Amino acid sequence: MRKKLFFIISLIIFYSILSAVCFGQVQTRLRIIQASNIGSGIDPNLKDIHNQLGTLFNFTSYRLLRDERFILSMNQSVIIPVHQERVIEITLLGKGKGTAELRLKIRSEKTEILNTQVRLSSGRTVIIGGPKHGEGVTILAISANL
Amino acid sequence: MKESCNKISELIEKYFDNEATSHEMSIVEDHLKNCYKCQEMLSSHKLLRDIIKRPVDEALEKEDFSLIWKKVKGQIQLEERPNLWEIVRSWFEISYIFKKKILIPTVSAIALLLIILLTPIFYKKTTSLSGLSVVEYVESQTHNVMVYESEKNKLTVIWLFEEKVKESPDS
Repeated sequence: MRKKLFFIISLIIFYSILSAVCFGQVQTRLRIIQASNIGSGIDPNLKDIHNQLGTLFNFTSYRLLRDERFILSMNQSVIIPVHQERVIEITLLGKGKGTAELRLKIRSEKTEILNTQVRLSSGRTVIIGGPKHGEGVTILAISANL
Repeated sequence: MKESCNKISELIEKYFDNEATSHEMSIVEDHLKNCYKCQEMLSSHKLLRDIIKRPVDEALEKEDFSLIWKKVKGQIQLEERPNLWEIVRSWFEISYIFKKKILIPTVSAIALLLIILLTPIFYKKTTSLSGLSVVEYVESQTHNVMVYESEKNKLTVIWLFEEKVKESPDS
């Protein structure tokens, strides 16, 4: 009898902890793309957003420099180097019905280049790009899997 | 007389077993008054019954029927499975926790734990989710920014343009 009761109580506590941990997490993906007019070709790993990029930009070449997937908990931040001195800091601020609220900060040394807050739904991509450097540009594609 | 005894011998067995009718009984009793042979036959029946009955009675006296019944009852209870309601009721009635009188504090502790763990989740779920725009705000100290949202392509673009021209202190 005691064993049964202990098992039930343990199950409740375990479920509570699991809910707190798992339900507050968001799998996030960051792709760093080098777009340019030098050469031509599309990286196979960008097929899912190639059409979207094609309708927006006139670059002839899209090359994937980095593909990062990470799981963010509430208020957890991740900092990833982007290009030269630039880094992007991604923070999960909230999670609602099929949406994740992210704060994105791009910094170069001590200068804050961009500070934005976006609400991502599953399948939606936020692209951050520019400014143009010569013939190319660095594009960041951020998406969340909810 | 002999024929009569033969007929009576059949009735004597019924008489001895108390299965004879009142008429048959009176016939047998009348006959027994005058027939020594049939009296002996009846006596031998009684003797035989006593010989068989005595050891049986002795064995019955020695046997403990209450113990036997207890064993039978135990077997019956083992075979009878309690229903779900009885199991649930037994948990509350005879559980260890109830006996120790710690049921209420335990339930309270679990409820408190659940509230502490789940409140942040519900709180986060309702924070700043108003509005339809994907980009809630955007600012840049160094660049001009353009925001483009396409519902068709499920795409949002935040584009940084050339660096802002710093305003001179003179202007």
